[in-house]
Amino acid sequence: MFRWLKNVLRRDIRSSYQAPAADPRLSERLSGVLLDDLVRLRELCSNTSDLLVRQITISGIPVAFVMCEGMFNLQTLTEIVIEPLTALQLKEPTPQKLMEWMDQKTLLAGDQKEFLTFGELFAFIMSGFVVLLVDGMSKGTALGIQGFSFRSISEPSSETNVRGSREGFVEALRINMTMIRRRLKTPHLKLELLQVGVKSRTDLCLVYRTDLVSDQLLEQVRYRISQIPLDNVMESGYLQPFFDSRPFSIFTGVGTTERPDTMCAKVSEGRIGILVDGTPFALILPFLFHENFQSMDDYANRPYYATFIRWLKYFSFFMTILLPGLYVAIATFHPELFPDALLFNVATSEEGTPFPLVFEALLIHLIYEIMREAGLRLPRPVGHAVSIVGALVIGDAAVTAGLIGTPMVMVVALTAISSFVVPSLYEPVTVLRFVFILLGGWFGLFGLTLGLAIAGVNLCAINPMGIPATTPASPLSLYSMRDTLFRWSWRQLGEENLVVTDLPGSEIDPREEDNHGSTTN
Amino acid sequence: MVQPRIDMRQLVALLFLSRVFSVLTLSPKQENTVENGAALLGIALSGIVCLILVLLYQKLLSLYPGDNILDCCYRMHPLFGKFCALGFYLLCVSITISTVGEFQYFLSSAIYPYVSRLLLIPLFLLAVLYSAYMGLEAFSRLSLALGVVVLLSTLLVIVSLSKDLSFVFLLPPLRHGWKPVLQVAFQGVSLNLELVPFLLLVPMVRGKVYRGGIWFVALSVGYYLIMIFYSSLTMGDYALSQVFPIYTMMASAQVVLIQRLDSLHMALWVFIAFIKCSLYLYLSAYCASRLFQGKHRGKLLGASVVAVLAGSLWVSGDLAALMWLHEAFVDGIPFLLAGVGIPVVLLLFLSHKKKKEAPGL
Repeated sequence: MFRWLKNVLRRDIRSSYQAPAADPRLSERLSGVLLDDLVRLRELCSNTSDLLVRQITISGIPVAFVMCEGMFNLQTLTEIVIEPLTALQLKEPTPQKLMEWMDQKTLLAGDQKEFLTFGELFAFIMSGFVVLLVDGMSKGTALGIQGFSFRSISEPSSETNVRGSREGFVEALRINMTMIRRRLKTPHLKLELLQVGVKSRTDLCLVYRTDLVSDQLLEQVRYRISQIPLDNVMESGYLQPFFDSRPFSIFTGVGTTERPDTMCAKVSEGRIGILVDGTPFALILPFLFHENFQSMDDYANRPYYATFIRWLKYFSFFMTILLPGLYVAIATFHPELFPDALLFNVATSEEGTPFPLVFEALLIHLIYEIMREAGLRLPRPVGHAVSIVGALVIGDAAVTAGLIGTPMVMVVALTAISSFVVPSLYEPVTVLRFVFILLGGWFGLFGLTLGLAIAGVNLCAINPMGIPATTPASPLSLYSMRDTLFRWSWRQLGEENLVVTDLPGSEIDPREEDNHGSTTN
Repeated sequence: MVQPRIDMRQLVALLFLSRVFSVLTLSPKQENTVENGAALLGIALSGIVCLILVLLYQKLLSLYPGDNILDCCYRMHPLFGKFCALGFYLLCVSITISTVGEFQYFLSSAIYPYVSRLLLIPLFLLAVLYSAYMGLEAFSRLSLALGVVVLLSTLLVIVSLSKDLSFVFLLPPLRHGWKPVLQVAFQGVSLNLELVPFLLLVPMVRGKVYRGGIWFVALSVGYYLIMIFYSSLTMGDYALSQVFPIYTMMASAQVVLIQRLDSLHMALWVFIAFIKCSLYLYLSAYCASRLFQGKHRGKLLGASVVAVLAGSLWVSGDLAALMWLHEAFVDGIPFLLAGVGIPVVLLLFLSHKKKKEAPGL
């Protein structure tokens, strides 16, 4: 039935949709005649202004340097490539001898590759390589001397920690790769480069440990990446729905992180990280629900305090989704649940307001969300001003104007603060909060309970990459719970590595037991 | 068709919650006529009988590992298999109708007297349909978490009511002889219809499934005993006059900030009814799909929910029909057929067949 509805909704889209396809001209091979190749090159890129072509002669052989403006390091190019080449004096020079010299007798760049087609040529120059074409050779050489500017490494904005590293990912993929490599100095760590996006050809990097990751999981991830039918990939969020087992679910099975240390910790549990060029947000697969409540600080703090903070996060999560709805439901349908004194206060404050409680709650939460969104997008100094106006509007003016009661201010304040305790769940939490206000206001505790049950089923139905999102709580594994509801000491956690594919309910075949069964830290 | 797989603990939680609904729901015949001592002894006896039945099921289903009761029926004869699939389908649908009817009766009489059943039932069934559509894994995972919540809330109620226990109300079990005890024991077994889903779910469970069956019987009987014990010893004869004695008991409980626990009971009731209906709706679609070689599960789920909607709207508007349906289960004929008769026949037939198939004979 749901499938039929889905098909009906998609019918129109399908009839007019054409899957993105690569330009067939890009698979053309280089001709070997330098001038012809350069003309074809300019033709293919519509003579774009940032394409730089410089022709010189080396030992009497015409060559051309092809590069993109601002993408390469001019100093390195001059000192390490141009100077040795211009000083070169070959005996009986031929294009073959020149290529052989570049390949075998010198080192022009650390990353030096040969290619045959125009598609490869474009991919290289747009990634900051300098391409060298030699007249008479139907292949080119790409020299990795990138020199584009990028944001320097700084503290991640969305995952600030008290202890631990202050380094966060940046937009440049290669820099992110080095941050991972520096932290995991094991030959088992593999960084696998792939491309995605038919037009954007965005670089992405799979990060995994060959001794821990399941082959089945890895194959599944590679397959899904190969099936992504997008023209352009500008952010890792573009890829997220293609890894979600249930894209229409309010919860996701794909994690994001800005922290290289978090990524390393996850990779060390047999997961796969995906770094995407152009964004500091990396993806983690599979990502389980309880991981939303973990942070790097937990592992640096004492176990009893980390456990306390974790419980606080769970409590905040439930409070932020349920408190407004619960307040509306109890005050409207079940006032007998309040202690007498509180009931009297609630009744007194609500007596002077013109709207029903459910409308009050929706209004005030809507105003809060508008102000939050405005504060987020505005320049920082203006954002502060919006916060002050917001505090005045919600905290004082709305009550004085008789729009809402005082307890509702308390409810919205508590809800707003607690929603930031688990920032990774902000999206589902916001939607659920509004839904629960409506359900609580219309159907009381019955509606609220039914809504909670549906949200629970929705969460439990997620199987990110074949592993239940709710494991190890359900299916239950008491042993794995040592880092879920509680955070045991490193003395116990370090005794055996947790590998995600070993968790109960996993449909993914783990790697051979002897690889990780009793690895000690 | 990919077979869903659940954990043994999830199975226990699923069946336990489903059984708890029957414990919390009205059963006027039992509560009005039998004294608490006899009821407690009878329930304990019913637990022993249920354990014996679980062992019988183990014997039957271990003849052909990986089979459930419907597979065994098909092994006996394809026509018998189809007949049993239809019978189990009707049983699952009627249990769902009865559950929704009782649930609506409780809500409209105790909590929301002015809300139309035409609003409550479709809304509830829509949620149940979504749950059943999401699959066995989804709602069984939820049931494990809910099972813990139910046990913790029961503990809360027990602690808060302990000061009100009065052992004066505890009557000797054999004051009126063995008849009322056996009557309660029979009812306890015949209302333990969750053994039928157990028979159907066996191949879908990872781990020690029969140990799970024993855990389920122990937990459900324990819970039943605690509820009867506390409701009769805190309220005395007043409990016998209540339509919802457990609800009344919870309304009288008080914990620090919360004035009453009846709303907690209501919230639990909704969760439990949700899980129970999801389970039986899912199984009804499963049984129906067996009539069509395992195909059309989605469409049959839709058809089942329409049947349940029509049936539950009917029984919720006609209390006599609801009581008739309830008493049909109390009388024990559905359970005797599905939970005892068919398994015994299958055991006898398939053991004989297996012996004939054994090499060297």
